[in-house]
Formats: sequence, C-alpha cells, structure tokens
Amino acid sequence: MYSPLPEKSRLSPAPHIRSGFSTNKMMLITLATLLLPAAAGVFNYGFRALAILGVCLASGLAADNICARLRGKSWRLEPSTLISSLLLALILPPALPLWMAGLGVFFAIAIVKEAFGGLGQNIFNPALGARAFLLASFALPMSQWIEPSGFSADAVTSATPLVSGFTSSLPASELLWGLFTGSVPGFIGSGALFIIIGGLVLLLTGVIDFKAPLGYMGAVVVTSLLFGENPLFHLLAGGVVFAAFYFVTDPVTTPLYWPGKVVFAIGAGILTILIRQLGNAPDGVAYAVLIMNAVTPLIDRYIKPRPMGVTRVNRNAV
Amino acid sequence: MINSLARLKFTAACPIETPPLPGKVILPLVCYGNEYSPVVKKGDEVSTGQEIAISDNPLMPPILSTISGKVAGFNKLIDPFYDVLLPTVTIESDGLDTWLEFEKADSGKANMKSLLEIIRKAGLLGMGGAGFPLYVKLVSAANAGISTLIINGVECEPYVTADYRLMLEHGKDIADGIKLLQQILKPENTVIAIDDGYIPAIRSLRQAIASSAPEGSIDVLPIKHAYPGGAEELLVKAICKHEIPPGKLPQDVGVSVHNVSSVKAVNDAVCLGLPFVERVVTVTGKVRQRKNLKVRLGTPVSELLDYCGGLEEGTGMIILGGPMMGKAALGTDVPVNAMLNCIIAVGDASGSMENPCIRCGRCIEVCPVGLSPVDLFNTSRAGNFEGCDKARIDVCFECGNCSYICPSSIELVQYIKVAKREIDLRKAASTSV
Repeated sequence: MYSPLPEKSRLSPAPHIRSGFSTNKMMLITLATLLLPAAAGVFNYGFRALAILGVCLASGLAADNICARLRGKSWRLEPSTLISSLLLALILPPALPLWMAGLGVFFAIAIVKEAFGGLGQNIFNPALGARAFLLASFALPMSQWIEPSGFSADAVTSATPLVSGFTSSLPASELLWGLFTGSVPGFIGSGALFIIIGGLVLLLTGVIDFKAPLGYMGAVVVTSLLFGENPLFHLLAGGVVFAAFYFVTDPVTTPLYWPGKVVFAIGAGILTILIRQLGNAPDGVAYAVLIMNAVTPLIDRYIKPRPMGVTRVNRNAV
Repeated sequence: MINSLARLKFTAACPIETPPLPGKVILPLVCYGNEYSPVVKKGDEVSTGQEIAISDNPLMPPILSTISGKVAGFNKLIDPFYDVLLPTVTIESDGLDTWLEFEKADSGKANMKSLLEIIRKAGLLGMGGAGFPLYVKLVSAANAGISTLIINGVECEPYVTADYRLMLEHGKDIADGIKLLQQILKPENTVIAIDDGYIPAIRSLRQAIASSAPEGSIDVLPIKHAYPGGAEELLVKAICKHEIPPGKLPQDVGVSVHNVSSVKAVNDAVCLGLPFVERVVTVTGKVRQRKNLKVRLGTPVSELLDYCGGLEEGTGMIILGGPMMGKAALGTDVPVNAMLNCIIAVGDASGSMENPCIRCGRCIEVCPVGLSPVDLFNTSRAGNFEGCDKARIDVCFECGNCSYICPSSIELVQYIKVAKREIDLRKAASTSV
C-alpha cells in the first residue's frame, strides 16, 4: 500500500508554497492596460500614431536584443522592454518624425536601461529619460502639436493647452472635458479617462498600490492651489495622470519602502507644479519624476523599516 | 503579515484519530546539545514511559520509551531539523503497550516544586516549535517573575490543524493545564490567544474555562488571522504592547508563552500520570486520506503516510512542519519529534527560476519584524555578512513571507539563513580563539 518517494525526490528550501503572483504577470497586465490609451491614440491621430507606436516597439525590441547579444545572452522578447517602448510612444507628440521616435526608444532601452545593468538596475525611468533626451535634442518637433483628426490626412498644428492654458479659445468646462477625453491637442496617449481606466485595473489586480498615485495627485492639487491655479486643469493636462499610474509607481526607479514611495510621489507632485509655474518647460512631469529618481537612493537610505525590538538604545549592540 | 495564508486549512473537520501502534520508534538521545547516556542496553525489554537515557545535566528531562517492546539497537540518524547526525535508539514494539505507572498529583494541593518535578520526570518538551525542555523554561520563567501568561493557540501556519483539533476536543484538559501553569508561574493575567477564524475552538475553550476556572482568571483572546501571527514575539507585541529586544526571551519582559499542546501535556502528566509519549500531527497534502493523528513520538513518518492510505501519484517531496517553515525530509524513515505538528506530501512542481529583483518592496510590506529582506538579500549575496549583522538580520525568525510573496521567485529567506549561519559561525570562531 505504501508508495515510497521516487528515487530522485526533490529537496527545496522553505517556504514550500508561493503566492504565484510573478513579475511576468505584473508586466503582462501593465502591457494590457496600455492598449487602451494606444487604441485611443490611433483613433485620435490615425496613421501617424500607428506608425509611431510600431516604430517604437520595433526599435525597443531591436535595442534590447542588441544589448542581450552583446552580453552573450540569447534572443528574447522582454515584456518590460515592450512596456518602456509603449510608454515612451504614448508620451510623444503625434507629429514627431518617425526616426526621432525610434532614436528615442533606442536611447531609452540601450542607454537608460541596459547600460545601467538592465531590468531592476536602472536608476532613471527609461521612457522619461528618453523623453528628456528628445526634448533636449529636438526641442521644436517635441513641442509641435496637432489637432486630433483621426485618419484624415491633413494635420492642423496647434498649441497644447499647457502652453496656452486658459487663454485658449475654449470655455473652461469644454477644455477640461477635452483633456479628460483626449479631444484637445496633446501627446498620443492623452485623454486622462483611458489612463485612469488602466490605472484602476492595475490597482485592482494588485500590480500597483494606491498610496503613490494618491500622494502624487494630492501634491499636484495642493501645490497648484497654492499658486492660485485650477487644480483640475493641472491634474488632467499633460502627463500627470500618466505619471501617477505608470511612472511614480514604477517599482525599479522608486524607493523600496512604502513611506519612501509616498515621499517620492509627493516630491514629484510638488516639482511638477513648480516646473510648470516657475520653469520653462510647459509640462514638467518628466523632469519632476527624473529628479526624484535621482533622489531615490537617498530616500532608501533614510526611510527604512525599524527592526522589531530594536530601539535607539540597543541599536548598535549586536 | 499575510492574511490569506492563515485560512488554508484542509483538515479542520477531521477528528483526532489514533493509528495502530507503530512497529518501531526511533528516539534521539540528545536534547538541546546535552548528551544522554543510555540506561538500557540492546535486547532489554522496556515499557511505555520507561527511562531510556538520562543526561548529566540534572535540569534535563529523561528520554522515555514511547512504546513497550525490545531495544533493537543504537544508531545515528540525520536530524531533519538541525542537519546534524544524532545518536538514536530504536525500540521494536511488542504490541502490548504496557505502561509504566506514574504518580498522579493532586493538582489542588501539590506545591510548585513537586509540580515542576513531575513535569521534568514526564519528559515534557515545549511543543510549539523550539522543543525546549518545559521544566527548564518554567523554572527560569518563575525565577524571572511573570506578569502575563500567554497560551498560544494561534497555529498560524497554513495547513496545520493539530492544535485546532486539540482545542476543540480537549478544551477541559487545556483549561486544567493552564491552572497548573498558573500555580507555577503566578501570573497577573492569563490569555489564551486563538486565531479568530477558529470559532468552534474559541467556543469550546470558553465553555471549558467557564465550567472549571474562576471567572476572569483566563481570557480567551481571538487574534486577527494572519501568518505568522502565532510567532511568540508577535503575540507578545500584540497582547502586551511591548517588543522583545533582539536576543532576549519573552520572560525578560515578564511574559511566558506556551503552546496549547504543551499545556495539555502538562495536564496529562500531572492529573492523569501520563508520561510525554505522544502528540497530534496533521498529515495532509498528496496523501489519499488527510487526517489529524495522535501519534507516539519516534514513529517513523512512513508508517503515518501508510495509515493515511499512502502517497498519491506524483508526490515528489515530504515536508516536515508547515508549508512556510517546514523542512523537506531526506526520506520517510525519519521519526516524529515533539515539535512536529504537520507532515505534508507535495508534488514535484519544478521550482521557478530566479528573476532579477525589480525592487517592488513587497518583501518589506510582508516582513512581520520590520526588516528589509531585499537589502539583506543583496548584502548577503555580496558576501557582506557584517553588513547583514549591522542591519539586524538576527531579528529575522525565518517565517518565509518574503520568499512567498517575491514576484521574481527569489529565495530571500534562504539568502538570509545563509548569512545568519555564516555570522554565527564567525562569531563562534572569534570567541573560541
């Protein structure tokens, strides 16, 4: 009756059960949530958006595989590369020349991510690092915006609401609605609605935690109120919701411990409005998050959990 | 802390069964580093409860035979819990199970000294996880002075239901055992902590206490279910609101914690005159029938698997203990010991490959003692064991939450164990020079 263990029985360390929630699953869910703003971008900007998305994905995969081969690794299809490529594509202006978009993604993957050691090792968010690189290199094309006109051929250049602000011809309520749905000029993935839907999916599936997005958006609202600005406008315009759900929640480039993550998010929120109000850049989200990325090791150094039973008195007695 | 884990119990409805007597028992002849010299020799007839070996250390309990039969021989066995070769004695059963008569004590009149002596002579060990001799633990706690006595019925490891069934079926024995511990330790408060999901057990204990103990002398306190909520240091923090400094014992903050199984064993020894020869073990996982069994200490695990209908097709590993902290057994010929509360047969699911850490910080969220497992992992992997020591790696009690939650399948707690072992070895080497 008794069936003995097979000859080659397994020995593995405890614990013997695992949550089953893997990095791969997190990446695939994140990737799936980006499809909605991507689809909205194609709906709003037609073939231009489609072409930029395609070029970005291709360039990202190429960069990743070149780096992998240089390191003697085999060909691969990294979901994290697809996410970074897609994220950058979604925050580019739709009229950007394709080669610039491709170059930007190549920079994101090869320099910002792989040169620093690849997945988990990069200090700066690849998509935002590349966006800053493109802004510095191609200032004019990076700030030319077109009216969303779907697949019709003629593109009418226009100012982004963040530059024109409330001086734009639209009434305030229509402007806010336009920002919410993506019907006013903006980057490919604009339209706060679609990003919020994706963000809610990330929250409900446990990929991200609510504290960082809340801290970031809360800081944006409070700081814009201090400047006497309309907080709703600042929330919806530019990349704020995008950053709230996809950039200040990026595990790799933000602090480890949750209070540190909240400090990061609040810092990024304050910087976003400071740059918008006092700096030259119309948006400021990318620079704000990148600055906080640079501060992350410092936050990690000072904001740590306290080991149980360890107090100031017995801290050094080992 | 992980809430969902504490709810994984598949044998809660299985009453405690007594399997037939084992054909043989294997008993280790060592306890907490104390060597034992046998007082019987090969071929001797022994009865259940008879002394087999005694230690030079007068504080140590004797090792008792857990069945009656013939001493078959003395061997060495790899101890599944501490990875060392242990001297053991094997006793073959004669099938009669003749018990040695033990003196019963009148619990109402017995004084503290005689109660403690019964506990030592009956061979009692703590059954919660450390397996520390109960006599020594009680004596040092009584000397330190105890304000709170905590009876641990939380049983937070998933799958394990041995303590649950014991509380459900033996509420009165546990209540009587607690009264004995109160006589010894004289605490101001006594609290039984139970997982708040163990509702029938809570009811059973409340009834038993209402009928046999003075009102208000013992509180039954449901603890929010979460793994590892039953760990001693966390219970003390939850109930008494103070944290035990690293390296200190609960008694250093005026608390003594005892497992419900130990408490029942105290009652059995003192009131019924029964020596410590058995415990309840949950057998679960890929066995044909999952059961809670009352088994003789020293029973080979293979006999229990056999009694549960044998292993299912595709079993690749046997775990001794719970799924979070239990160890993979080297074989099935290992004996049940005082701490073993669970045996799990698991499939041969191939382990996941380790992926790069994405710094998500989930390991920090689930660490019950406020450590940063990811930092310890990086420091340990870099070989910087001094850095681990400075980061207070000694606070970790290896619950396994970090490895459980890690989305990149990093064996975090394993890296931590390696560092802790290395630090201990280096400290031992530096003090011996």
